[in-house]
Amino acid sequence: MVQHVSSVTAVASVWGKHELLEKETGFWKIGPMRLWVLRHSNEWQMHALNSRDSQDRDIAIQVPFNGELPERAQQVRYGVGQTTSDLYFAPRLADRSMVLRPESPFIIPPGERITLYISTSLWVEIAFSPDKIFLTNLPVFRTSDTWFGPSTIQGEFCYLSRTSARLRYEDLIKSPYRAVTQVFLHNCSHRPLTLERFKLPVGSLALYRSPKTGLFFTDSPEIEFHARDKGVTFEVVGPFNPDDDVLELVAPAREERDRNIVIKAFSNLID
Amino acid sequence: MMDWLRVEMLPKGLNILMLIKISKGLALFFLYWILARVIQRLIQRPLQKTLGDHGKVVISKLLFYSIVIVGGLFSLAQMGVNLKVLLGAAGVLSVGIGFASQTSASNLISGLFLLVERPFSPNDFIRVGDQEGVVLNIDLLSTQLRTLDNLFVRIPNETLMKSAIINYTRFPIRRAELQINIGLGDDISKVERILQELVDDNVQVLNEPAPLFILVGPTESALALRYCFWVKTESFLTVKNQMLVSVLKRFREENISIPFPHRVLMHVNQQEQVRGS
Repeated sequence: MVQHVSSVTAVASVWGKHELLEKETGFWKIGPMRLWVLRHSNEWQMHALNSRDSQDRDIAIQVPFNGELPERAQQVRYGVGQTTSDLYFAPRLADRSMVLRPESPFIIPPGERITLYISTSLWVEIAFSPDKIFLTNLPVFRTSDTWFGPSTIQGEFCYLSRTSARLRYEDLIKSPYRAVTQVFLHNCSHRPLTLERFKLPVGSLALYRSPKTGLFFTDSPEIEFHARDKGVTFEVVGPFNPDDDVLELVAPAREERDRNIVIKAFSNLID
Repeated sequence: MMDWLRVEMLPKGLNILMLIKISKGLALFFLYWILARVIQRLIQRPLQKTLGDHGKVVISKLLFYSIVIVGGLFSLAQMGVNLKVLLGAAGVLSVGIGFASQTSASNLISGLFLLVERPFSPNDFIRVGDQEGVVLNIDLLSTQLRTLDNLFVRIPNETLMKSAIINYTRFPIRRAELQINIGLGDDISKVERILQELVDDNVQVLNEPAPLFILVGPTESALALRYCFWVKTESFLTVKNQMLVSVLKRFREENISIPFPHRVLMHVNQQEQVRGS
């Protein structure tokens, strides 16, 4: 039986524990991602297929799955001593920083402080019991690779995310497989600041979930831009909590050490 | 006592004392060898951190041979060899040795300069002249490569010093270029749009730096284009091949021609030519 889950609150059934009997296949569709997991006595097989439709918000679960596995799906096999019935799906933020590209260039006048609302696609961390041994991390929506840095010699690999850079949370389209980040930007310099590309250091943010709505939120970065020779101040403040709910911590920040940093190079976050 | 030590079985002039001296000398040399090996191993990690793989290899080998040579001289002194005579002879020979070893000396000095510059490291893929391959080892006198055909190539360091070296794997990203010819009558903006869509569909093609569309111009039979895009260096060939296959497939689907060289012959009727004149 295919269970289509359309309401945001019911998406909670995707995350957490799932049970698969031996030789059984389970199917999960989380937006653009489709995943088939087949359990054998000493092997897990995963078949994944990602569409390029970032607007796909349909969630479906079918356990057991009795259909045909698609040939085009990417297949990976995991050999283990003995599989057990429990499989865990946990939401995670991307494993690299995200470069956010406003759909049109965005200018912050000198002295102004604004708040942007941005949503980024989650990743699914899959583990099996009894000790929640990590199997793999799969993106719900695989965005394009991109390079962010002052030159082609110096920089880092990131994922690209096109954003409408909403100034009001209500204008943001909510999605059960995306995390919402509230970004505070303060232009402390005397010149207008043009945002064409903006790096969101996802590794410095923790991921939270609202039990009330089932939506995901991250810590909020606060960034101050000073004159070019004084650099940029980056600080992480607490999570965005629009519904005044008691948020559950889903995953801590991967990089705890540099959550408050002064970045000398102006181009380190902004391009 | 000396008579007792002078054993008749030994060759004339050789006695137990001399044997003891030689043994001591050899033992000393062996100890110096061990010491050189131990020091060579101990300095590997600090050298690796400060000078990289190339520097580590060159300096550790220089240090090793220096200790062994010093140990050898002390051993000879222990054995009773007159080092002054030896050094005197070396001085005379050095002129001849100098001429004979100038190439080796040049290779060694070039190796030291390369150590400072560090144009490549082991496991880099480089091109020197018409040789290209993966750097296996960087030695005092030469650098060894493994070609893509799995052949072994030894390049003297002097040659490296004098040549332009292309290091394909130095930087994390690299630009790939597709040279495409389309028909003279094909829609250029449509082609550009198709190429952009193909690049957007391939997540391994970097969004930044942005791809570049270059219209080279008409040739004899076609319109020449260049399309450049950036990828991770480690997946350069794979992604470039993927893109080329996608382009050819999509061009066929969209009826974009990829012309082969051709000539258009125009036949003019002779009678029409006469009437015209």
